[in-house]
This record gives sequence, structure tokens and C-alpha cells, in this order.
Amino acid sequence: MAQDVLKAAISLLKADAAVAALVSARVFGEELPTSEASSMPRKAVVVRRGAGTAGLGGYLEVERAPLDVFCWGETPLESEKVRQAVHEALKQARRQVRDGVLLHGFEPNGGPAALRDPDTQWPYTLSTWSFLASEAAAT
Amino acid sequence: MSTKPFEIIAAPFTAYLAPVGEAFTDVDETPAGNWVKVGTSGDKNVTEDGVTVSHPQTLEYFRMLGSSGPLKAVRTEEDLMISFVLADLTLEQYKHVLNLGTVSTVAAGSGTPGYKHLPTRRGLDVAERALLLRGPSPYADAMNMQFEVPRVVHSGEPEVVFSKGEPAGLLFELTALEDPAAASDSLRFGRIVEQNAAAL
Repeated sequence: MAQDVLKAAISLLKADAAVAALVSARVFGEELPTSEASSMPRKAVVVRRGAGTAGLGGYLEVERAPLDVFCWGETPLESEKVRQAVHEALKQARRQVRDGVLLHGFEPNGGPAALRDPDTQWPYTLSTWSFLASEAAAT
Repeated sequence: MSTKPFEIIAAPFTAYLAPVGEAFTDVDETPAGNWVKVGTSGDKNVTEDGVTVSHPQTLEYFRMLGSSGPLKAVRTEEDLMISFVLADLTLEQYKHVLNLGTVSTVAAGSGTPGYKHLPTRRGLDVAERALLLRGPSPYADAMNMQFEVPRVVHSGEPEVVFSKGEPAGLLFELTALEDPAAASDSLRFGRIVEQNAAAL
């Protein structure tokens, strides 16, 4: 059964010292919470499952799928600092269990692209990854 | 206890080399002492092709006149080979693919640079080492597995390519030799150890 890889990825990033030094606990899934709006722009990370080709079909209980990572900052330069810390944390992540999900690893796919939210003009850096994770719960 | 989902491994392995006869480290301890990690940064120096462990063999099949299928198989040859490409050109690593040549250091002097050097001729004698190949266990989280190979020789023929945009790599191809001192015939190439329980 598919596992909550987003939750596991958030847990992994929150536990990384370099990422936490920049964003504290502001690592979110899917989108920035409304409660963050009044404090933006500031450093934060949003992870979201990405659209695109998924791999590893058949009956093997392993999922390979895209992951989009949005690194927010006060300025484009600050968002890039967050991205660098996130990049290191994801690329060097070894096989581990996070929130009951066995994460095998992350591979960078694309980016980074320095962008601004079209509505708010908050700067962020977008990078795309693919993850490899077990579809069976890690007990 | 179910091994699910740890039985699937998608991780790089780290190689350690030591003189022949060196005792193999317990599977739950970090190799130390005479065990030298291959690669200045270990598995961070191994290219994306990963580490390949091969078990080639040659079987002879015997067929009899009165039947179409083979009736007996005999194994006449077998090998154990470990290969990977190491993106680390320090001479401390390069020496492994050049028959364990001696790395010499010349200190900087006034007006002269310091440097290290390694002979490139391998010679007639083939250097042997013991190999320990370490990775995650397929039985449980936060446990290890390892290949313990008591005698290996470097059988590869590295072609180091220096080009723009691609890290230059050293081909490590290690072929096992039989260990005549092994406790049994089946252990003459060593063994695979996979941890499934923590120490008490």
C-alpha cells in the first residue's frame, strides 16, 4: 500500500541540522499554511508530489516518483541558501525509516529555478527530485 | 519477525581493503585498524553505476544418447568478482589499481613544490588483499550486511578518461582467489553476513 512519503520527507528535512538552522520547523507539505502568510516572505520549505513519469511498475513494492521542493526566502539569495541546505540533506540521505516509511533515497532531477510567486511576489527556488521509497510499511 | 520492507535494498555499498589474514570486523561495528576504506569519502566516491558483485560459473552438461535433455551438470569453474568505478584519483586510491605500489611523498622545498608519486608498472607479482564490502541489511532497519572475501586480486584494466564535464574514475575489479586456510570448501571465497538482530 502506498505510504505517506511526503510526511516522511518533511520529517527528514526537519531533522537535518543545516535545514533547521535556516527554516526552524517551517517545512510543510503541499503548500504554505495560511497562518504563515503574515510572516512571509521568510525562509521555509514546501514539498509536494510532482507531476511526471513515475517508475518501477510491476508488483515490486517500491515507488519511484517525482517530488517538487519549494525553498522560500526573504530574497532570492536567501531562498537559494535554503535550497542548498535542502539539496545536501536530500542527496546525502541514506536508507532510513521516517514515520514508518522506508526511504531508500532521493535523486535530483531538475532545477534549481529562481522564481517569484505571481500573486505575492515572494521569492522561492524550485528544484525537482525523484524519491525511491517502500510501498510497504516499515515495521 | 517479518523482514518487510527491508528485504529490498537500493543503496551503495562501501568497500574496505586490508592485508590478507586480517580478521573481519563484526557486522555491527565500523571497520577500523588495518581495514582501509576505499575512496577518500567512501561510497561518495563511487559513481552512479554502483557496486556490482558477480558470481560467474561454467557448467558442463552431460547428455546421453537415449535422451534429449542434459542428465548431469558439473561445475568446472566459478568466480567471485566485485567491481565499481571510483571517482577518486588520489594516489592512496590509485595504488589499489596498480598492484599496491608505494606512494612516496616529497616535501616542498625552497623553490620546489611538494608532491607525491606512484610507480605505474605493476610487475610480475600480483598483490593480494582481503575485502570487506559493507551495506544495509535486508533483514532490519539500521543493521548491516557485508561480503567477507579473504583473498582478492585486482583484475581490472582501468581506463582513466580525463574530459570536461565527467569525473575521471578508476575501475576497481576485484577477483576472489580461494583461501586454502578456510574452515570448509564452501568458505574458500569467503561468505555473506547479514545482520538480523542487535547484540544483547
